[in-house]
Amino acid sequence: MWFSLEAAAAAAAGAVRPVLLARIDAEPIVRAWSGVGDLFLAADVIETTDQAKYLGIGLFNDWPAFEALINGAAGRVTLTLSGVDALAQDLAEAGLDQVENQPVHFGVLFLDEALQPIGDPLWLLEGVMETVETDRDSGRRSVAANIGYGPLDRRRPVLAYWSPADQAARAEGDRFCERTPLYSEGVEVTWPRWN
Amino acid sequence: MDVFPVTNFPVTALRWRPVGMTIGGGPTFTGPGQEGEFSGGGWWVAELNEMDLGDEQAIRALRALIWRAKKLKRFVVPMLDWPLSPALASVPHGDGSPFSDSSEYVGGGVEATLATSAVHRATQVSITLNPETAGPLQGGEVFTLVDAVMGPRLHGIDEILDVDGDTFTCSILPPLRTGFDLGAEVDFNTPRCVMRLDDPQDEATPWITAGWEGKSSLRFVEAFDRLEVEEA
Repeated sequence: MWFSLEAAAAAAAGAVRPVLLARIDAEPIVRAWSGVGDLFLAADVIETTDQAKYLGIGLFNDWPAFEALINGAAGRVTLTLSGVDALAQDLAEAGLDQVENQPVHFGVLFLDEALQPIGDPLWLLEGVMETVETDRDSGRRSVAANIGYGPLDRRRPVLAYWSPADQAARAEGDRFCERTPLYSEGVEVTWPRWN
Repeated sequence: MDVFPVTNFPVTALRWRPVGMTIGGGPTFTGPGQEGEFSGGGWWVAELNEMDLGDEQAIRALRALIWRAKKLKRFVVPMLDWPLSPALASVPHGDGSPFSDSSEYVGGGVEATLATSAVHRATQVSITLNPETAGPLQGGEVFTLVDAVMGPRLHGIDEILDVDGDTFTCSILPPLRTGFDLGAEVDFNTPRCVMRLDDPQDEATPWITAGWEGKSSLRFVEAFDRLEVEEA
């Protein structure tokens, strides 16, 4: 789950060999990775099955940008798979109820020089599959999955801010957020003027 | 699975290469930028440029193949790489003399097997070469391993890591598509791969010139279909 020292060293090197992983906890579980052929991964915190088979899909069409979410914000990403055939589109529509509200995980796994995995995958993001949309634009069919992450529904935690008061309520006597009011957000820092 | 009859259409230029998805990160404050490779080993692409279609028979044959490929048919495409395969061993006459042009008898092909079992996605394999059939491996050779489910798959030797008598430990690309047992046949003689025709712009269909001649260029990409359906 966490970045191992070996993976950190690999990420800091001049050449990195990351592969991207996606896992939808539907029935059956959907597993995909950014390479070709099959990839078998050992079980970890997220992946409960040992030697689970990740399906190589060549590349994700558009790997979305993830945001680090703080202060109780929620994010949403859309994954689009273009150029699918009519059958895949039908299946996506028919199987909607099986994937909606299912947990989705995105991760990255670093490979070493011999293209073997270094440690466990780093699961970057845990989201919820919200809706699946299918589209047909001038003969080109696509399936898009909307994935929400962060506190995205009405179960937003009450204590969502990194303020001293919130932190004191979370853990009495903890001074971790003591100086956060000193931070300014959205303010341009200018060079001092001495005259 | 049918073999694509590459030798029926003489090509002007032939290129096989493994491709992946490499992206550059651009320069950074701390030095040259990073390079990232996202495909975990990549796949094969074969380009057959300017295949000479000399007569109507060749045009007819190629048209039929292209039309079958349009039904998403997969072909086993031979690489035609024998000048670059390990040098074949040769023997002189019984009294030790060669032929008048100083060549010797050459027979059969390279005999090679896996010296150890190899796991799925391995990039190191140990190959035992029969020294009576061929000379040593040097790197840059290609070979095919045939699996009942994945079909014939092509791999290239990028580095010889260790030599122990007739056994060569090699670093290969791309990673093995499936696991293999000890003793599996390593085919250096007819390197080949399961591929699909990559022809989005419909450039494979030849322009026919007067006199019923034409030239066609084909591009094949490794296909990952399975020959047999596995149990889920």
